Amino acid sequence: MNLFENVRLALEGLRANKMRALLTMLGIIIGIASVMAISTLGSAMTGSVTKTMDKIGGKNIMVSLSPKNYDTQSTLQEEDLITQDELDAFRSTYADQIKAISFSTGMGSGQLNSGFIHKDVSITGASPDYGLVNNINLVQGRFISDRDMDGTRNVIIIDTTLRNNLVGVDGDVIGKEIQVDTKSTNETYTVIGVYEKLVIDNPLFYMGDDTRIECFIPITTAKSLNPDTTNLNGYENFTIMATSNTDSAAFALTTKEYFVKGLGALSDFTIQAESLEAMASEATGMLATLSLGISVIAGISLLVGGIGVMNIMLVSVTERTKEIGIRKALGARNSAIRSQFIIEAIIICLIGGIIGVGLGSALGIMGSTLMKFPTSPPFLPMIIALCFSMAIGVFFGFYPANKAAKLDPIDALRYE
Amino acid sequence: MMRNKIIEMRGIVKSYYLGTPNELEILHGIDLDVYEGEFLSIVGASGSGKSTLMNILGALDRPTKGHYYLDHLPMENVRDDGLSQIRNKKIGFVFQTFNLIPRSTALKNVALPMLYGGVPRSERSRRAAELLQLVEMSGRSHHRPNELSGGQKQRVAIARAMANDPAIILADEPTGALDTHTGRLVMDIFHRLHQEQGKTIILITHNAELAEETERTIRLRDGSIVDNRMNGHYQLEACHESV
Ligand SMILES: Nc1ncnc2c1ncn2[C@@H]1O[C@H](COP(=O)(O)OP(=O)(O)O)[C@@H](O)[C@H]1O
Ligand SMILES: [Mg+2]
Repeated sequence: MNLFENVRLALEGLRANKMRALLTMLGIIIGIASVMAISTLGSAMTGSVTKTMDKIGGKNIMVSLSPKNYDTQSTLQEEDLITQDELDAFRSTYADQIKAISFSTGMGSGQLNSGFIHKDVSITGASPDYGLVNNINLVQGRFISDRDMDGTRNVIIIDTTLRNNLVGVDGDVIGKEIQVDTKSTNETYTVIGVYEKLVIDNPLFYMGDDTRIECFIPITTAKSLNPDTTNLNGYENFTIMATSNTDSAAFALTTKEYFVKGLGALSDFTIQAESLEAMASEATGMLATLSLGISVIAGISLLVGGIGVMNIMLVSVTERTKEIGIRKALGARNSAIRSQFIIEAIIICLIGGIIGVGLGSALGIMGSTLMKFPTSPPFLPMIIALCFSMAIGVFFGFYPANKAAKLDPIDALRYE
Repeated sequence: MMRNKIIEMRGIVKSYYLGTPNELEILHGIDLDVYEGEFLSIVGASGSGKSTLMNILGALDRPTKGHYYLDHLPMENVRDDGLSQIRNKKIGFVFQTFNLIPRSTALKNVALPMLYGGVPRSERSRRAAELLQLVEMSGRSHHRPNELSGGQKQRVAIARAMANDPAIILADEPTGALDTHTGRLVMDIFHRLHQEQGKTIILITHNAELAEETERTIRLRDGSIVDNRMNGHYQLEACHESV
């Protein structure tokens, strides 16, 4: 007797008891649907985290000096700062793990004036590698060069919004002079580049609506203009871009240890080194914990569902005792009876699984769309879920099916 | 003419163990020979062991003691799957209570033994339709059992018993649940199968008149054969043969 005939027999059996079959499937449906929903959502989330990480520089390690104790007022001493020599030594020690190091310093906000146009901007002093490390997307001109640095030149890179305000979308802004007033300075800068602001559409990385216009000037220029830092020689923070095959979380620890040694034991400051990758994996780790929790619930639901299937199959075997006797009298082998009932159990579970997969994927896609994660139906989990529901059918269907197969034909025939 | 001894039973005993030492012996050493093409009836009071004997004959049950050769095959050596196959290919059952599968149509019921016999689908439907025609039930092939009368159900059941063209048809009180008229119709079908197709038929009945119509009648009393004789005109034929 072939599989096809068994499937037909099983479907006939189920059609006779549609409502009961549906109720029996409920546990399987709920279990499979919740697994599917969470795995759809999960894969959408991790997918978008990875994408965003690539955008904002997933291999970056932010290193900074921070006070050991925030309660007491501590001021940075020159000996606390990391010198260029120390940095060069570090860089040559770990040459194969470091792709670039960039420095920046915030100059705070200011007002840009050009003719009748006045705009609030924030000024950041940056080193030449800043563009590479922070994935600055230049659309016109160039970024800061070593010569800008050495000459502490008054050059500036503005973003496209500002460019559009100044000269329009098609206008040429390169070489234009603009004036920027901050709390303590008013300087005139020459525009050397235009960049396009990074749009992060990932809710996990949402940091408030950032409508700031950020402009970059050479860090040397920034320092020379900032009275607080002019007398200090060294860096209090920088960003390391690790090479793509480096474990940046581990390298962050190495970096921290390396520079902590350089600090005197008496210093009020310590080194913080955080990798973006580690921060992101923290976020996805939370998601994994959540998935695990939901999977446990789903597992319990599947177990209960499976027991429900077993129960209904036992009822069905008892109800159809006479039918089993008739089939045996007509020449059905034990194996034919067994497969008939196992396949019936598998089909109950498979139909439940299909409904669950459909429902769960729909929920997951709806959830991801609502939370603005780009997503597509996850095929592998679908296949796994369907196989798993069939396995539940085999597992929980076996005992009732075997019971049916082993019925004595005469006892079964005589059953009323 | 050498007739093939299709059934040979020697010292068949059937006991039920209702917990030792209460052994309940139902059949006490039955000896029975049936030849191919015979129409045999078994009579006896209710509880005399007719159905028990029939179940052993039909390979649904095994005797406690004794030897049973079905078409010269010693049944004690046949395993359960082999018994299934014998029930499928060599035996056709007809029961008093019809025993049709309620959810299946007449056609599907008739096709069922062929399904278990591995007959291809199209061939199954073709032959099932043919068999329904034989019992004059073609018009009802897509009806379910609960849409049929008792006589109609029994005709479907006979068609089903014929599905795999078995050598032996075993009918346990097939007219017991039918009125005289429909019982007559069913009986006529058995005669036809016997005469036209040469089937070996063993019929259990309470009806002495119907038993008279068969070639030979065996009487069971309390689990033993107490009478075994040729009926009416068949007696003469049998005498000629034994000479
Ligand atoms: N499973 C069983 N256990 C105990 N006794 C049984 C069983 N099956 C049948 N019997 C007994 O065997 C006897 C013969 O039964 P049966 O063959 O059905 O008689 P008949 O068909 O001639 O009316 C009856 O007394 C019945 O009670
Ligand atoms: Mg009986």
